Amino acid sequence: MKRRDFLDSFVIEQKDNVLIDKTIPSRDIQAGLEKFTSPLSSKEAYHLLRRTTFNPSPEAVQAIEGKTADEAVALILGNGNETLPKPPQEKWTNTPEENPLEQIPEIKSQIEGVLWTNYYNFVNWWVYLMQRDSFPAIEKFTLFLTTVWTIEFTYDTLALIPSPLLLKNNQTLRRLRLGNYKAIAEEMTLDGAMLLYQSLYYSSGTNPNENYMRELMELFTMGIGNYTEGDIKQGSKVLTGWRTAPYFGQPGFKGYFNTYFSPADHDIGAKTFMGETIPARDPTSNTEDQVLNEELRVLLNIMFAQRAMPIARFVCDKIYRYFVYSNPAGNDNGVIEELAKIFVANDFNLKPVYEALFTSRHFYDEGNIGVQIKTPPEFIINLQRQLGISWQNSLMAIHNLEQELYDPPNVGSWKGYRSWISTKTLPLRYDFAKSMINSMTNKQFLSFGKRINDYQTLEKFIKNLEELFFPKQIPESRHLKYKEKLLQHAETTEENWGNLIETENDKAANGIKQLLLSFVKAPDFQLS
Amino acid sequence: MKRRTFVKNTAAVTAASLIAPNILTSKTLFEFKPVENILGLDDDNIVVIIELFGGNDGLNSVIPAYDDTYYNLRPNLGIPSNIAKRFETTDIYFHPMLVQGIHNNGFMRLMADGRLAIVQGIGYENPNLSHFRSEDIILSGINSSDPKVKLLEGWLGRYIAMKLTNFPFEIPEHPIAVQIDGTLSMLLKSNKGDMGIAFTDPQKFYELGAGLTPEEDLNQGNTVFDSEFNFVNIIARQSEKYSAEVLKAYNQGKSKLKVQYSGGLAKKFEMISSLIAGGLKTKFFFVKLSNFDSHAQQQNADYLSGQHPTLLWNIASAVSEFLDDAVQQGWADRVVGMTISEFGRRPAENGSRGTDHGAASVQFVFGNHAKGGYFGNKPNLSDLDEAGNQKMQYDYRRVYTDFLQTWLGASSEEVKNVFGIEFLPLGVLKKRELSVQNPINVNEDIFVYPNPSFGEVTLSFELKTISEVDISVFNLLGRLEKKISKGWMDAGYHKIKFSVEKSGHYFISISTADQRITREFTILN
Repeated sequence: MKRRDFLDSFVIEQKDNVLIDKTIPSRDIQAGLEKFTSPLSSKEAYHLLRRTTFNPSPEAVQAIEGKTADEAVALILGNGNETLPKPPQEKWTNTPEENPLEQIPEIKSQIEGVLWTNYYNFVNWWVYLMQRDSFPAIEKFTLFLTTVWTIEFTYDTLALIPSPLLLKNNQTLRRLRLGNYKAIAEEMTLDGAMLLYQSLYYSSGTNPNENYMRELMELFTMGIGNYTEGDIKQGSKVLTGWRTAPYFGQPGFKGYFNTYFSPADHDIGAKTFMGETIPARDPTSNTEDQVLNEELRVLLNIMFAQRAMPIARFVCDKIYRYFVYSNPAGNDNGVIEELAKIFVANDFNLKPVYEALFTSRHFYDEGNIGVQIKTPPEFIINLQRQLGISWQNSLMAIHNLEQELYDPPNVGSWKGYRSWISTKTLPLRYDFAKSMINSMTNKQFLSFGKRINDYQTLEKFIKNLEELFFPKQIPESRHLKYKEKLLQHAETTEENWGNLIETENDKAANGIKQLLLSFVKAPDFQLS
Repeated sequence: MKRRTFVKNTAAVTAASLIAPNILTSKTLFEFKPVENILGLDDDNIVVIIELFGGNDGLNSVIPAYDDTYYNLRPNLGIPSNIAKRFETTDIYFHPMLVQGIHNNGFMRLMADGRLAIVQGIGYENPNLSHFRSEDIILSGINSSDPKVKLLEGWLGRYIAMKLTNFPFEIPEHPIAVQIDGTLSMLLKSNKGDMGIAFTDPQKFYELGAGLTPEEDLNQGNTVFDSEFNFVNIIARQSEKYSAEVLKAYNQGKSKLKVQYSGGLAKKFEMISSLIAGGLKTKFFFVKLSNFDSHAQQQNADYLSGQHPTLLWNIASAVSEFLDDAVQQGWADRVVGMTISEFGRRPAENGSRGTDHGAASVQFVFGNHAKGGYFGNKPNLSDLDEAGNQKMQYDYRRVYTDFLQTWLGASSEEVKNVFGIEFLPLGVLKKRELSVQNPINVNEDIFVYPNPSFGEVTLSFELKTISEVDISVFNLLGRLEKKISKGWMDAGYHKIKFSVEKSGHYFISISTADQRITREFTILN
């Protein structure tokens, strides 16, 4: 049997293979991208907020409940031209440090210490933004792009990426979060953090580095199978000569942290990429503007013209997995294909794709409710927003749950989906949730309780809490257990509950606390 | 119970359960069962796997110091022959950091003891230069560069999942596989879920698992929601159980260590040793060492320091200390291990004092039951592939097959279920003789003739007792070419005629449950 045949038969064979867990259901959501026209119920409002924001709180639901999906999505997305948040005037945002590689070991480790501190200041600032994000909801879309265009702060054992470059990268992706994907590709290619991370910083005509060109196609735009090794070699030559100025004492041509072009390091020979020729250039026309316009932009144009649908499918598949369900199957692929067509028809602008997806009947289908596993920032930030607190350890917790911001395990990003939950991370999640709840004062429990609709009526109060914390309606038997738990710990009766909470009795606070501790242990508390 | 008998029994049980599927599916609570029962194994063999992520530089691990081509390709990085550590008067030269200053003289001592096998030219056909695809290929045990074939499960995860026939309703009471790391590797994932656990600190692991079992039962429904809900629910229950078992073993075992472990990777082996000594029934231990992607500045000018030498020191220290500890504690016969890496580095160094992504490379197999020595031909640096990389000599799955079949007693059907195709074990491991002596039933006088042949070949051999015999022809890559026969055969002389159409060198393998004999032959057509 030929190799090809073998692979085909193996893949088909797997369906009846003993290894398949027969309990895994098939995905058969019939609804497609048709418009979801009815006003959003509270359940649908929560669903939309859970997936697109870090703030599925009672207040956010009130803001969009009853609106059409179009109106709600417009509020959440914004127009994409909003003023970017200003980082504080601190050293980590703009100060160059010496190149640790050029130092003796003691100095090297000192500089590295500074770089680590700066890195933590930067990601802490980002978590601070996530904790305060409202409408438009900017940060989850920004985070999504960093899961595609990965940057690793600890990109090898030799060097660490300076925080001003990480900040620039972050602001670029925030600015372009709803923008044009080709523009993102161009800005990321010339992004200082990316130049360092992907070794383009060292790439020259005599030694073109293939690292970035491969990742650009394999991981950032079209996926494996759409290009040849020859395309990588030729494309690498196009991308030679770009530099940034990350270290003190070497400000480059344009100042610290700005990307510039080094003509001597650019390969001026002809390149043939995907069958199209980028002609050789004369040394006199080897300037930044000319190479940018006549080589880099041409390269991206060739990619996006020749591989339009593969790129669109690749990106829309990532969007689908991030915002809808991480393990698409069956009809889901048809929805991804439709999104890809919208992406191409809109010249690779992301906003129309998001609009189509989040206002579709497919998105609100019961089959998509509660099926996503919360990512670490969703788990950590959502809960604080819901409880109305700001938890000091958020960054540490997100990192311990294995999403180290700007430092994924490798350039292939975080694997996501069920990989977020393991015998290591699930116990940690429970532990963090408990810590947050245990950090609250009685006063905070009571003011949390009073943010819930109908808080004086026990039955409605608990139902509303369940809707706040669980994506799907829970069985009546569970509901009754929760009710019993609250009454037991508040040492009260259903009739007296209203009075108890209204008088700010500590027993009411304790009831709420114990109920919350039960909620966070339930399996569906992990689901979104 | 002997393995063969067990396999037959399970077949019967499976058949019975099919008749009454309701009994299985209506179970709401699952059961924890002893590892031996659930795996059907009659030994306490253990496997340790070290992944060298990023692509280990094989040519700077075992140095071709006899080959000028090597020094021409690596003017800056080539390890001079007077710095490399030569094994006796052979052509085996180790990187100094695999030997020098390492417990018991590192790999040199293991080599002298016959406890280290160097497998040269390990790789796969059509090498892929992407870290991630290539890592997926070596971890999944499926060689496919077709992007439509998504590789999401590990070969070990698949093997374990195959053994857990009633998962998730029956779960082994000890973790079958343990990774000393933060995140669980794809190697231990299966389409039934995680087939192993990952942790770095047993005490913390315990504290976090305590009280985690949810009040909610598994859902009975069959929607995607139910499936995700149950996934989380089972992980919670498993977490609590395993956290307690791991800590118990760790606390009992840590006082039994006989060797002072050094830092880095060795610390992870210190933990593995404690867990084994403390009675954890785990069959597979896995650790991952990263940073082998040495594109730039991989080694300092002294040849002894820098990124790659430090990593080699980590490997050799960890393996040498662990194996010596095992000997002194008295369980060295239970453990074999191997290194794996997604690819080697390109023979020619690049302009940044580094090396780019390569293809075929070197693998180390270690332990009392490793067949010490050098497998394969020396690397031929004048005969590279079109990307300038080394060509493969052995498919990586031939070594995995050794671990599954020779070491763990998997049947060839099971191995086929894991890889989708049967491979001839490379023969880099020795079978462990257990208390039950296996009667030799295939006489050593085996003839394959004529050899070379022009098509038809006769095989003759003698069976001493009635046995179930599998006779297969494998090509030089170790991939199954033709199955000649399989079934019970009487004692006595047997003559079997068969033919092979394509010219080439082949292996014929005659195997029974306890023994495998191979002979090489040639077809000229």
